[in-house]
Amino acid sequence: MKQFRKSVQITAAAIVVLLATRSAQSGGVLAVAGPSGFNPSVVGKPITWANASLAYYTDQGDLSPLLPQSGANDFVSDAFSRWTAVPSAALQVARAGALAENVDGSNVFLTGNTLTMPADIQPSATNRPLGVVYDQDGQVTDALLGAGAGSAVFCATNSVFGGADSYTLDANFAHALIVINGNCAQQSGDLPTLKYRLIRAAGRILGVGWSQLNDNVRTGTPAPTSEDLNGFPLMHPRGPLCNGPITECVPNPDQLRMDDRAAIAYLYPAPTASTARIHGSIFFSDERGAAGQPMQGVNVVARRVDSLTGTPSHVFATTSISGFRFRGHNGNPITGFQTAQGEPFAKYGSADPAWQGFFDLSGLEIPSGSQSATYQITLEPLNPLYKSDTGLGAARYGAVAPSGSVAPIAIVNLVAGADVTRDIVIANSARVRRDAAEPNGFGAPSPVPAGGSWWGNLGVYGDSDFFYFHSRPGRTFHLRVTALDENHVSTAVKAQPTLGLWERAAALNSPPMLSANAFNTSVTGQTKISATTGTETDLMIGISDFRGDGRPDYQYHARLLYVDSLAPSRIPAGGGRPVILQGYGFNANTSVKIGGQPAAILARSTGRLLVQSPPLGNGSAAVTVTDLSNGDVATVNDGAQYGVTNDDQLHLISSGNPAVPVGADAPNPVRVRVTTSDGVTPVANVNVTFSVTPAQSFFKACNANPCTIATDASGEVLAYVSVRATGEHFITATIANGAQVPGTIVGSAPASSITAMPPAHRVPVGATVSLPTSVRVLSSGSPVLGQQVNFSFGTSPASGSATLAAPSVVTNSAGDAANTVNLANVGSSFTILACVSTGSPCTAIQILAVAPSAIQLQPLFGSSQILAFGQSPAPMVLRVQNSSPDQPVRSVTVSVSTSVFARTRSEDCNLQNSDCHSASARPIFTSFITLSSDENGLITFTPALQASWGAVNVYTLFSVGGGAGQTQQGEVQVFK
Amino acid sequence: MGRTILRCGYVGLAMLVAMAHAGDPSSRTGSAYSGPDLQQITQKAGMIFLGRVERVEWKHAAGGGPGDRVRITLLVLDGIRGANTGQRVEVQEWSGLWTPGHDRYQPGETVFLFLYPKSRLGFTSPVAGDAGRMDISPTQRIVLSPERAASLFPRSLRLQKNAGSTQSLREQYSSEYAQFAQIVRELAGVAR
Repeated sequence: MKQFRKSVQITAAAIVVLLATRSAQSGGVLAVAGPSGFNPSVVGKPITWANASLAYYTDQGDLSPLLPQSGANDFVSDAFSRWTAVPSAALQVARAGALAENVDGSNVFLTGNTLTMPADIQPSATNRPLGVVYDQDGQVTDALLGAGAGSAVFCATNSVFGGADSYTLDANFAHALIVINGNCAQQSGDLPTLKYRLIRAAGRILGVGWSQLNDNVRTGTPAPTSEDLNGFPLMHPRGPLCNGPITECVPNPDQLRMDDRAAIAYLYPAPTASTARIHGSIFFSDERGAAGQPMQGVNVVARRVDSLTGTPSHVFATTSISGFRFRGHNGNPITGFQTAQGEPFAKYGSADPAWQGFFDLSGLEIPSGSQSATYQITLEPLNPLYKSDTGLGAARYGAVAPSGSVAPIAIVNLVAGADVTRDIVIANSARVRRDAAEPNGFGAPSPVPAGGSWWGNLGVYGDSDFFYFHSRPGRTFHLRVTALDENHVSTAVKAQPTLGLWERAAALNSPPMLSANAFNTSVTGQTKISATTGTETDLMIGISDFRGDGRPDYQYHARLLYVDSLAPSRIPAGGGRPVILQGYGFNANTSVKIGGQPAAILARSTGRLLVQSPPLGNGSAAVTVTDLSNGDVATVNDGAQYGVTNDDQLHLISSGNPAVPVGADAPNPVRVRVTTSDGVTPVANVNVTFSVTPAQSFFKACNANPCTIATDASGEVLAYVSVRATGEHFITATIANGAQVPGTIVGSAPASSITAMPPAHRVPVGATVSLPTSVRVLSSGSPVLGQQVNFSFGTSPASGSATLAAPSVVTNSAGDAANTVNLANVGSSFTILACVSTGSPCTAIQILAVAPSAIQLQPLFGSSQILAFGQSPAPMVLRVQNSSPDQPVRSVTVSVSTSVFARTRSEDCNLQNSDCHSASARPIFTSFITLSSDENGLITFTPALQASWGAVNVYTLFSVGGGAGQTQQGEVQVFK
Repeated sequence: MGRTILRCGYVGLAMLVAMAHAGDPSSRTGSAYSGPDLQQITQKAGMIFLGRVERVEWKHAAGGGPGDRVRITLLVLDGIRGANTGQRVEVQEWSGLWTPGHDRYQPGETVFLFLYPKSRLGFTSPVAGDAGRMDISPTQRIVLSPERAASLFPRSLRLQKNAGSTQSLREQYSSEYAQFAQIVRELAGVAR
């Protein structure tokens, strides 16, 4: 007793008591009127019989040999009397007469597809408000419940059934039916059990709902005492399971318990009663510790405290479920707000938040001989096993565990007629924390947080969260949402996450394309939705509680497993290079296969995987990302493109040349481009094989025929032919899918020829540089040794100076005469003539001064590299060229600046506590150099990496000016 | 009174053992008191299957007006008797079983059902009420209360192939769905 007093909060009833003219009542309620199907004035009102009066009509037949009609009538009357005899209730139930027939199997039948029963037991027979059918041979039970249901084997469940089947707009029952199975009344020993079940059925007919009190009688934990049994309400959802007559399991099974009495008195209160009442609301605590959102679904238990021992009674006790007059199922944007028949889910129960946490403990009995009593209030969770038609209050759609706890509360000095208001704020309950994605309703979804793994909550009533992500075709993805409690532990007794999928552009509040019901996986509290994408679009995910509920303890964790893209988009045939998979939801359990071959993961974050591409040949391959912890497989059909794919195209850009003397190189290349099927998107790093006939001619790049060259970043390849035969040459460029393009060139063999190699040099205006130049002298296709070649200026530059290193040069064994042109700040283009010493033939060497504004940079190789830590970068190669006609420019100064950034790894994004965006990084290293383009216009730069840097992004900026195309960026991503 | 209490079979495992000897339901076939065991339920069932509720339709406005039946459409996830896996079955219940506001089935829920054979009126319902309907836990397990386990799996219920699983259910009150389905299949004489 002493300890008890220390552990409870004590409220002196005298302080807050409101002496009522009559006692309000409490207890379980079967159904409460809602905003649809009832008059507005009765919304929130429990459904009862009008005027607290029920007239019933009984079958003309016998129930059984043991209970012929009159005996059965008495039996039914006695059952109802248990409810009407409650002193604190004002209720009249009386037999008003007989039904017009003996209801049996012969008059319960089908007409066509319609059930035909006697008119006076149908729901429309409101002039016979309650019909009682004596199903003597079980045939009616068989007909209504299923073949064999009327057998005595099933008396434990089918001895009495039926209930209210019609009500009025004023929240009154209009009709009900009870069927009593005569097979369950064959022996006198059967009758106590049958009576127990009939009293329970009668309670339901009268509008009494189920009640959870002394639930250990059902669960066995702790072992029930005699007090538990004596207080165990007849209206417990399941009652005791008894392997003998009910009398062997429950004492006085035909006697209502205090909880039953309180329940009937709540529905049909007597004008004056000797009981007391405690009512109020249960609340979550807000940020300041004051009353926050009302808390529905808490079993509020009042036990009378023994004045001598201080022990809370398990006999004199009653319960009320908070929010029992509030709606339990409101629907949600995913499943909709109406049934298939167009009836709102929220038909029953009020939408008024004032009822959401409301409890009403009335019918609190004062011990006889005493003037007052003390009651202890405790809060208990509802047993989640009681749901559907055994559900309690709004918990029939799934019990919700209360959030937090309170010490027992004692209300003292309760006197008859007292009415105490006692709100309860649960101080250690979950508190609403607006998650970072809010507001993210249907019309304004938030992007899926980086990494695709996040926490959120459905924190207020009716809350639904919507997220979107960009999806590409041919992907299969999975979203798993796990309900969590306030401690972030997965649970099935908080939110019931229901998932929906829409296109983001879907009309407001339209039904989803796809939905998933709560808890459809084998993981506690988890719901999963999977889909395969069609067209490229933004997809929207919706997360709602199945009931449309929302409260501060409805936390969840969501994880989207989706593979968006691979970079680079094209992997060289043979693989072996790192590639990045971009997507959502990767973690330590992720494994990757490409084309069915394992792809080792080199580095990972939630939104990105660096994998080693397995060795595969040309073509497309599926990418599969598997979560080994749950078996989810996100796929990308044909997600990896190796080398050349079947749809790739080969285009001839140019191949024109003048007749080329045998022994000389063609002045113009054969230029081809490989693209994807769209004809535009370049395909880099795939091989183009050139061949030429006659076979003795070859390609300068390989000094061979055929010759295979990889495409550059623009998908192009340039191939110069070294002509070694006369006549028409047929050139073919081929890629692995068989696509090919032709070209021609003509080889000539004049008696004497001189050819500039190359015929033109491009330098920037103002260049000061020494240009090596060369001409080849041939005679009928053979090099001429010892031939003097005279060099002179055909034209001169308009400004600056140009001088020749030597006026004459003698050819070597290859027929070549090499010279040097020294330029100093040359201001315009000019021409040099080279003639054999006899004066003919001659050739011109053009020195073309390119204006700075016309100089551009073209990345060729290595501009975007992905490396695992420890790997070395490849050179970055760019070509400096003039914008038109797209030829290389040598001796151009290119500035190269490098910045190295440490890269932050994207971690799970906690909407509650952290910023979802990566912090911007500052460079940890910078450098600057200049390079000069070579005779082919190329510059080559290899970033240097330091081991101490770890995971970094290395950005290199190449610049020849500030105009379009004059800067290019290279990037090396190093993963660790 | 005390002796009466001690004879009740719902006070934990020790009491369950006592109950199994004193009040074995299977020994009281046809009794008006006890619930049938799993063998009896299986024998009486016309349809046995694991299904997911897809649709619930009233033939009249729910809770009022003339009408007679509620039609429940289920997708059969595991058919054992009278229903094939992958099939959609329509079950019709007498509307009098549906208390206003207390829907017996919710679209989306997964249930294991033993249903009576259809009556001459086309109605059916779970065999032995609650006993013939089992919810699947979020972890895909059949979970029973202790007393229900004792009722469904009395010691007299002996199986050739699934004795271990039966004992597990009797003593631990839950099992993987697959194990439970095997027990039912054996009782129903249906090969997997």
